[in-house]
Amino acid sequence: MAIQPIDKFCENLNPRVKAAVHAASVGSTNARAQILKKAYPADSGEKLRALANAIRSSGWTENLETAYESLERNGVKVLFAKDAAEARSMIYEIAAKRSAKNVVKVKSMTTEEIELNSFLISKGIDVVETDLGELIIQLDGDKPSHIVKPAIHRRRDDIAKSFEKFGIAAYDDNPEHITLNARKYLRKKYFNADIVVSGANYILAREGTVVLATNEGNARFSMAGAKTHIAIAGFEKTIPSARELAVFLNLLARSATGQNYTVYTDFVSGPGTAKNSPEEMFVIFLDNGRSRILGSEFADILKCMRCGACMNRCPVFRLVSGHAYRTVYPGPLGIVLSPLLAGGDIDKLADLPKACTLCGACADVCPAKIPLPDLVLKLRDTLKRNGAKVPNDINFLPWSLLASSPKIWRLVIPLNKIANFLPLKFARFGTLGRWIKSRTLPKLRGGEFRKWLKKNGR
Amino acid sequence: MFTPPPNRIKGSKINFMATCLCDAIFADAAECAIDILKRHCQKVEFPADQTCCGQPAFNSGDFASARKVVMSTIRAFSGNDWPIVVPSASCAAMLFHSAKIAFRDSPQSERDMVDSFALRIWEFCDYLVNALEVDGIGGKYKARIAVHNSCHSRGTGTPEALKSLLCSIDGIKLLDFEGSEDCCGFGGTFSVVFPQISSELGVQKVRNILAANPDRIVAADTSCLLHQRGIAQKLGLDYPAAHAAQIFRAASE
Repeated sequence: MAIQPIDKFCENLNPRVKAAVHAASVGSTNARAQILKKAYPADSGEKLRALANAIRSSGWTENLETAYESLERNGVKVLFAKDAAEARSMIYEIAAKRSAKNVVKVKSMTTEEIELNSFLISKGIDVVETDLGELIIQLDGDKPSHIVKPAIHRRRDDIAKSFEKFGIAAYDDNPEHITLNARKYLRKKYFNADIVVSGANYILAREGTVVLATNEGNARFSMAGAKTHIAIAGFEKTIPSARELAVFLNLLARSATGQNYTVYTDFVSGPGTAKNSPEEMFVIFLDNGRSRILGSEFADILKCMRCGACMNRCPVFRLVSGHAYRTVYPGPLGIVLSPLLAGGDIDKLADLPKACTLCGACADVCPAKIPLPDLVLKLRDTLKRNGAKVPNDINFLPWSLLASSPKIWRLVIPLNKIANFLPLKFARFGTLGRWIKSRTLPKLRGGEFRKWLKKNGR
Repeated sequence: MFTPPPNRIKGSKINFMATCLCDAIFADAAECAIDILKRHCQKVEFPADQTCCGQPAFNSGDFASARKVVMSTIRAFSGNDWPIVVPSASCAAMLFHSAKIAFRDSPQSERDMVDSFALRIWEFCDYLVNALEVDGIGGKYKARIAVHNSCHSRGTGTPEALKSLLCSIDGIKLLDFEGSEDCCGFGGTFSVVFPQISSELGVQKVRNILAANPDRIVAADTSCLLHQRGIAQKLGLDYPAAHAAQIFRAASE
């Protein structure tokens, strides 16, 4: 019955994974609500969200120009990559010139977007994820299923099994021991690292500073060993200055994990600015479709700060998990952003914006107040006008003709009572079959209200 | 999220928009709503040319079809400029919020029509409390009630209004239940485009609500209840759902 890829994924998803994703998502949603209420009583939280939205409503070009100048002034080499392929080869070239063999990674969705790891590995470079969640999924070639908690779909027993399989430690599914074993394994990697590749939570234009928020301190460890730091980020991560950063840092961790702040917030203002820090630093601004989005009616999606609150709150995400979406960005963010980033392949992801009940809960929790349901609807419209086909879609033309012809409507609606005498509950196919499979049919009472109205006087 | 425009039109002469669901299935909900409105309004008109708000096509991304229906609705209510009261939070949101998106690339004259039409649209409970300033329904109705706040009432006056009206009735006890803020999975055509996800969400919702052991399940929308009752009955469970207007009228009988 389920023929939509996402619906099918839901049908086949292991119940234990489903339960884990649901519990973790609900937990994060509740933690977010509690900590925001505590930190921002009354409607001050609302005001902060509105401010976050306003800051990112303008100044994109100026921010980027200022950031370029400030970063260069700080000794950072700034590069612009028009797409994923260009970004990958920029990073590879930097590595090749330095005969780098070992790369350590700080968790970054942008590097997932450009599929950096598999590319560097194919070129003979050892790449290790240093965020525990990312390391867990990297080991057996899995993919992140959540932008903040990449291993939300994994259970500790299967993590312990893969640690054993890949020679990190003997089987031990105690969470603390898993962490300690990963720590030991990663320590060697930090020492041997030639290059650290990170994303950027924010880039401060005026200061020329890359801001990295982590909970494990792995960004600092990575910086301590490597000689070269490459930070890659979508250009929309640039904000005017440290002053505005306060707004975002006060929202980011609270929205993401229900912490006041992440455990570590690193400010990297150029090479050699801290003891043992990398001797050289690159910042790569990635476009990969973003300037196209900026110039469209979907520009609001670029205000996203990647906190994951929308997916934690989404009824569909909670049920299907991130892998159901087939793309790097899942949930309410992903059903808008992924098709838009896909450019010419947008129609292949036409089912994504359909995977939404339009309940609006995501917009209620989005720290940047992105009107996600409105964007979802506009995207459905765009795809419909493109002629993209989605399975199970209903043709509304006949209905719209009926509903815009009042006289015919009045004649036809009372006829629906005939259906009460048809064996419709045996329907197995089509729209009706998909309704009947899990629901009863109501008694149809077409025209009765109008009849009552006539009798009872208007 | 679906916040209505400020400064909507109020008054004691109103139009009633039954919605296609009441026209086709839930006659009682519309009848009860009319009865309640007549008590508080000088005049309640029912323009006969009304059909549907256009939401099914709009939510499916077929904006051209949606625009056709919205225009037909605007014409149907052009006989006066009184407020339009709708016994459905989602149809109301369609007309005061979503229609603007459907017409975003349309000629200015059409957009103006849609914008001024939005100022006339009110959900039933919202209108009673926030326009007519009805203190309460009064009367007596002994029941443990689980309220389902439909998703399209997010950001509107409806949830608070519904709650206060129910609380004004003697004998009503409102129940808390897990996941009360979560979508029931109906989502209009979503229910048949993603039948698996929709049903799983429906089952979760129905089980959460029934765990509170309510006598009635009440909402300001018939559409979510249609889905929820369908799910519960398929599981062999009794699901005594009702539109808010039905409880209001029962309380005063």
